[in-house]
Amino acid sequence: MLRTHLRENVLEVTPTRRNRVFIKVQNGSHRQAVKLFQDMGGHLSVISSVDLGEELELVYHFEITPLQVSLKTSAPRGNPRIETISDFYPSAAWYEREAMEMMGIIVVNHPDPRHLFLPDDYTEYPLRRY
Amino acid sequence: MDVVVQFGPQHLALAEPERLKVYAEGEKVINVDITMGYNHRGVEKLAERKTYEQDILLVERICGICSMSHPLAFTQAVEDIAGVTLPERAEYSRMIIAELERIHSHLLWAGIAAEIIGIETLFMYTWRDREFVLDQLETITGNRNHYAWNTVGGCRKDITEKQIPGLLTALEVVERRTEHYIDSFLRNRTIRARLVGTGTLPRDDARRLCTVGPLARASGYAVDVRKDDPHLAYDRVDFEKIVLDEEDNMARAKVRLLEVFESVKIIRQAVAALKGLKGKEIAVPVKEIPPGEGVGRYEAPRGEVFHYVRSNGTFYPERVKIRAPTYANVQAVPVMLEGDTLGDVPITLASIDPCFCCTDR
Repeated sequence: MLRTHLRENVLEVTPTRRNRVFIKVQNGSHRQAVKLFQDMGGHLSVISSVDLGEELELVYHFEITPLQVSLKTSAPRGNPRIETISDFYPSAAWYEREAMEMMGIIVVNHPDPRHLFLPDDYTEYPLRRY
Repeated sequence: MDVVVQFGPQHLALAEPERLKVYAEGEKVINVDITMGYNHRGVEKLAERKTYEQDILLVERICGICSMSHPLAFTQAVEDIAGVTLPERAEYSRMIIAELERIHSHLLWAGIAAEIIGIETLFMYTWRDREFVLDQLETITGNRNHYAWNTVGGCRKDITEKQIPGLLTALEVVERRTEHYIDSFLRNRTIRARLVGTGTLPRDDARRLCTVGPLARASGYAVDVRKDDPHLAYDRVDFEKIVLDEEDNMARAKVRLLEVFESVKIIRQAVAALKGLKGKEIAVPVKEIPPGEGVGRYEAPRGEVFHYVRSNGTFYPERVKIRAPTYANVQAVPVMLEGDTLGDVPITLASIDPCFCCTDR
């Protein structure tokens, strides 16, 4: 269904065990997908951030009963700008704050881009690997 | 915006450091700003530097009370990557320990709530009865918490025949006592005055803010990973999802205490099932973890514990992401407190059963 909505913006769909699905979409079109998940009554579990080396990736974990869908999108390391989804899911704001301080992803249009866990004057990104 | 009251980082109502900046107009709460991170230990980073086996013991130490839930979720994620199917005996014995943990956590919560309300007697009684459960956990696993029960592919130890009678007796005691506590919570005037109608979280907000666990279920938002995403042997035992729609602090107390009975039910069925699986294996060997990613979820006493593990084919995980239930629930606290009086702040905050240690990791 997502394919019909987003067409060429869906890069990769990986179903794993049981009811887990991982979907990778182009940066920017993730908002369309999230909107679709919201209409389907999805529950946002958490947003993970992963350092892939060349790129930084955000993984949005949704529960759309009975499926567990993880939506991925990534941005180049030099300019890691990904737009916020906190207007669809208010609880995403905190997860995005964590991704910003820990992985150094720049979440565009974030309503409250303060540090969440780290001290305010901390400038490094501790979870970057490469 | 008249008054700003600081709750914490050190506060009598909280065992853990956390700061609430409460904006109030007279006695009425208008807004709350939450500052976290006093307990940040960098567990996610540390997990990348340890092997999978070591990580199980590491994530177990994120929280002293959910010390079964975190390793359960973590091992599930890793088992997903490795494509392992658990032996049935391991599923049931994992379930027994996890449900014992739920009982002791809910009784612990009832005690803390009673203490915050100011009824110390009830606090001491609930904690005394919690000891019965902890004693059983110690007999079976060797520890009151941090059970070291899980390994990738099964359990490290087995529940022996000798331990069963003691376990069943403890369940009976706990069941009888919990009936008494429900009675106390429902009938005591002081408790009712403090709990009924305070800390209201409407159903729509519970849904919008993606809350989990007893907080969501007390607001009529029926999420329970044990039912929604069946794993272990939860689809083979008979129990109910407790959902109430009263939305206030009292509903949360009721949900937790009623869940104790469901846990007792689950353990009894699991013990019966274990008898039929006598002498079966408790773990399958896992040789290697291939590259891939996995998601592990478990309904901890406080709500859904979420672990995301990405593997790169080595002995060390590429990334471990941990979301504790309080991380999702604490975002609902400003909504719950809005319009209440300052005196309700401690009990309303305690009503989500916060574990900031888990949240900060």
